[in-house]
This record gives sequence, C-alpha cells and structure tokens, in this order.
Amino acid sequence: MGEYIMSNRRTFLKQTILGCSALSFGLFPEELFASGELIRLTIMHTNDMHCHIDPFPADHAEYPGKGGLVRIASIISKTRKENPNLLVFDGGDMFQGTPYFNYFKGEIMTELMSKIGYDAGTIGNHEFDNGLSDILMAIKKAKFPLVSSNYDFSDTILNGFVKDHHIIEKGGIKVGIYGLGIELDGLVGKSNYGKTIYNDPLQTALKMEAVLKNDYHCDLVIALSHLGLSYEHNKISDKSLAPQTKFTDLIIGGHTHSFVDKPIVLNNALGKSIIVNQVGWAALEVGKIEFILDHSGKKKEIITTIRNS
Amino acid sequence: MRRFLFGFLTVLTLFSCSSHLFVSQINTTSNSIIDSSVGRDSAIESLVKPYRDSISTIMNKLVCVTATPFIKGKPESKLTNLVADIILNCGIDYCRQNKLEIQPVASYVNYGGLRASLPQGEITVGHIFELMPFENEIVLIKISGESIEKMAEKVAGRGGEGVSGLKIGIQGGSLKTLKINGKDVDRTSSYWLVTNDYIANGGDQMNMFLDPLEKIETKQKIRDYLIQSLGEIYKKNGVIDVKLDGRIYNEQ
Repeated sequence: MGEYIMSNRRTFLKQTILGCSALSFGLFPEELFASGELIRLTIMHTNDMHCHIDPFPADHAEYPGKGGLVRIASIISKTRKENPNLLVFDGGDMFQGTPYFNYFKGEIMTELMSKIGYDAGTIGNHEFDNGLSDILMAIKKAKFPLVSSNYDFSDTILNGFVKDHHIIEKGGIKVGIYGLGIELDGLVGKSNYGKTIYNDPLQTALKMEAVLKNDYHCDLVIALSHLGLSYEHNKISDKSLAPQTKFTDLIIGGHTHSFVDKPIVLNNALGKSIIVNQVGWAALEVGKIEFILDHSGKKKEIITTIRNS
Repeated sequence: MRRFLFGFLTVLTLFSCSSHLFVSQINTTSNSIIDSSVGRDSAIESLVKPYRDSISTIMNKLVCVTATPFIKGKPESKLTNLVADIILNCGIDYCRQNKLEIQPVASYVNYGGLRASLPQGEITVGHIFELMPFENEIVLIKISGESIEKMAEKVAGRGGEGVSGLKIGIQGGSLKTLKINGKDVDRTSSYWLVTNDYIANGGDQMNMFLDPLEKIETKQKIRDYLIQSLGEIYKKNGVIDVKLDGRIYNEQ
C-alpha cells in the first residue's frame, strides 16, 4: 500500500514539474493530452444567424456570396474530427431574416442545428417574432436545449420547455451553461411574449454562475447571452457584465451584430480572465475558443490569438 | 490503523484532485470569416435542399429593376426614402379604396426594420423578403402635432430614419427644424400618420404612438405591398431610381 502511494506521488511530482515547464513555454507536449493529464476542450459558437442557412446571393450589396450555416456546418464537422471534445453553442436570434423563416418557421433552424450537433442555444428577441408557440415548436424539433435563466416562462406555454441552466460532461470536463436574454419591453410586441417575465440579467448571472461553480462543481462556466456586446448608454451588456462576474469563464454574445475580429479578454471581479466574444450576424463568421484544463490549479494563462488566414 | 488513516487521507486527496479541473490555458482564435473558400456540408445541404427548392420559384420572381443600389443610410438615404414614400402611398390608397375621409400626411419607418439593402439591377421577391422579413402590417394612427414633434425629436436624436411627408433639420443630435407638408407643425392640431404595427404598439421606444386619438389596422402586410407597388412603378416608369431630396438634413 505504502509503495503504491509513493509511486503515485513521484509520478504526480514529475508530471507537475513537466506541467510547469511546459506552461512557461506556453506549449504543452502532445503526450500530456494522450495521458489524460491535460484535456483540451474546443468551443465553437454562432449568434444572430437570422435563418441565413444559405450564403448571401452573389449580387448582395454588402456581403456578396458570403456566410451561410451550410458552410459553418462543414467547419464544425472538420473541427470535430480534429478534437472530439467539441461543444457548439448559439447566442440567440436564430429566427427571422430569410424566406426560410416565413415559410418554415423557426423550427427549420433548430432542425438543422440539431443535425450539425449544437449542444445548447439561448433565446434572442427575434425568437419571439411569431409568438411563444413558434418557440415551442422549435424546441420540440431541437435535440439540444434552449437555456434562458432570466426569462421566467412559468405562466406561459413554454413552462418546462426552457432550461434555466444546463450541464454537459465532455471528455471528463463538467461544463455549466446559463442563458441571458435582453429586456423585452419596447423591443418585442407584448402580444408576442405574453406573460414572460424578464428578470435582471446581472443578478441572474451572479446567482447562476455561483450555483454552477459551487453547487454543481462545474469546471467551466459559460454564459449564452443575447444582451449585446456594449452600449454607449448605461444598459447592461456583455462588456459591462463580465467584470462583475466571479466564476464565468466565457460569455458567448449576440444581439448587437458586433464583429470583434477576435475574442475579447477582460478581468472578472476576482481579477481572473473572462473571455467575451461575438461573431457578427447572418452566419458570416464562426467563433472558436480552446480551453486547456488540468488538475494542477495553475493560474490562467492566455496564449496569443491564433490567426486565421 | 495509522496506515489505514494515511491511505484514506491520500485517497481523499487524490479524489479531490481528480474531481477538479482548472483552466491552465486559453487559446483564442480570430473569428473565422465564412466565404466561398469554405465548402458546404453535404449532410446539411441535402437536408436543406427540399426546403430550398420549394421556395426558390417564388423567390426568384422578378419584381423590378433598380438603376443603382439602394443602401440604407443616415440622415436620409435612397432606401429609407423609397420605403417611407411607398408606405405613405399604401395608407393613402387604403383610405381611397375604403372611401374613408382621411388623408394620411406622413409616414414613419423604423431604421432597424429595414434588414437589407437592395442591389442594382434585377430585384426579386427574395430581395424584398431580405429587406422586409417581418410579417408587419400597415397601421394608420391619428396623433397630435405634439406627438409628431416628439417623433421628429426621436428621429433627430438617432441621426435620421425613414420618413415621408416631413422635413427634419438636425443640429447637434437635436431637432432644429420640422415641417409637415411644407408647413409648421400645429401642436394642438392632429395628423394621420402611416407606420407599421410594431411601431404603433410602442416598439423601438416610440412611446408617443402608444395612445393615438384614432387607429386603423389595415391588415395589409408591408412586404406584400412593397412587392406589388415596386412592380407597378417599374411597369409604369421603368428602371427605378429616386433622388435624395433633403427631407432629413444636418444644419450648421
């Protein structure tokens, strides 16, 4: 028994040193992934796709021949082959924007996204465009959950169909997800959201991240947010929310159709890094962030952005 | 016993160690731009095809031909002016057809409601769907001159939107000049305005429209009217173009 313990200890020390030296170079030898010492989790995400399943037409004034979920699907599938530890998320406003929506409603999006292998999405303001019944139909078609923590659907037909949090175990990593929706009053017709109650996103976020981290012991906490990246006036946004959080590792945003070039790195209330990202709209871009996790509890280290050609 | 305790503690330590993972590195990647260099996923493509085929015939139908691209912009633009003019005409047409003794004098189109620009050349039904994807309907509201003023203040504060029948001068983000049909607005008088149901219900913070003196819901879909109207204009006058007329302008 004693010998067994000692040998384990030696291995542990050796691997820790190896881990440290690797960290200092900012690179990890592939053996550490193979041995399970390090786990690589890739996150890919979209937002505000607005039913842009196909690329824009070639004669489009602003985005000729660009975008399209049919293309994003192939990037996701290629990335999944490189690393099966892949999670795919959406930041809301899947609905509204092309004739696909007018003829086939929101459920065409959740059908395709299910086939692509999305793991979770959230509810944007345009999801309400055909009323709550269309959201319900889309959820019934989806093989992934829609997560919204600050919309209270208790008194609506969506009661029991929208999750206030979601936990995914992927490659030994426990990932907690919560969702944040924008204030509906003035943005969505009252008849379209009915008795949906909008709760304060900041208070909801602080509560949910603590629950996911402390009660459910999630290794990573991700917010799917349709609040918008930032505003000139004093309105809650991803950028104003992020510094007030403690346990959220990543905010996947939407609503403001912001093209940010690369994920934004901010400091949270504990001085730790939190990533905020958004990828424009109309399936014109897809975001990718890679988390490398280990058992050592070393301080977070951000590695420079990998440039796409 | 001591051996057992030691072992127990170690197992505990090992367990707690293995149950917690920590982020030790984050690799961010610049957001991938989706262009023609990215191939289509064949599985998704075959799932989409039946849907696409069933609507493509309708979408490829020609509506009209444009002389230049109609791109939305502020304070005014060809696109916002064109749509606002057509919507005002829709209101006027509706009143005439229904023999109502009402004369709408102005229209308001929310800038955010126009979701795409129109290219130069052949405009299909599909283009109009992209421009106006919403199932919004035309609504006529009778509001006070004071409400017209409040609306113009909002338009000025936003640097311009889609209007017809109005002349709005903006200075430093505020309303400086306002004319309706070339005349000053009488705050105590009332006017019929044409807009959409989303706006008439107070959308986009247009609260001044919430309690109109009178309201007529035409049940006429804006997109259908745009398709019909642009088709008629094209048939009558040929290739479509509009001139900027300075209906919204910045004052020195």
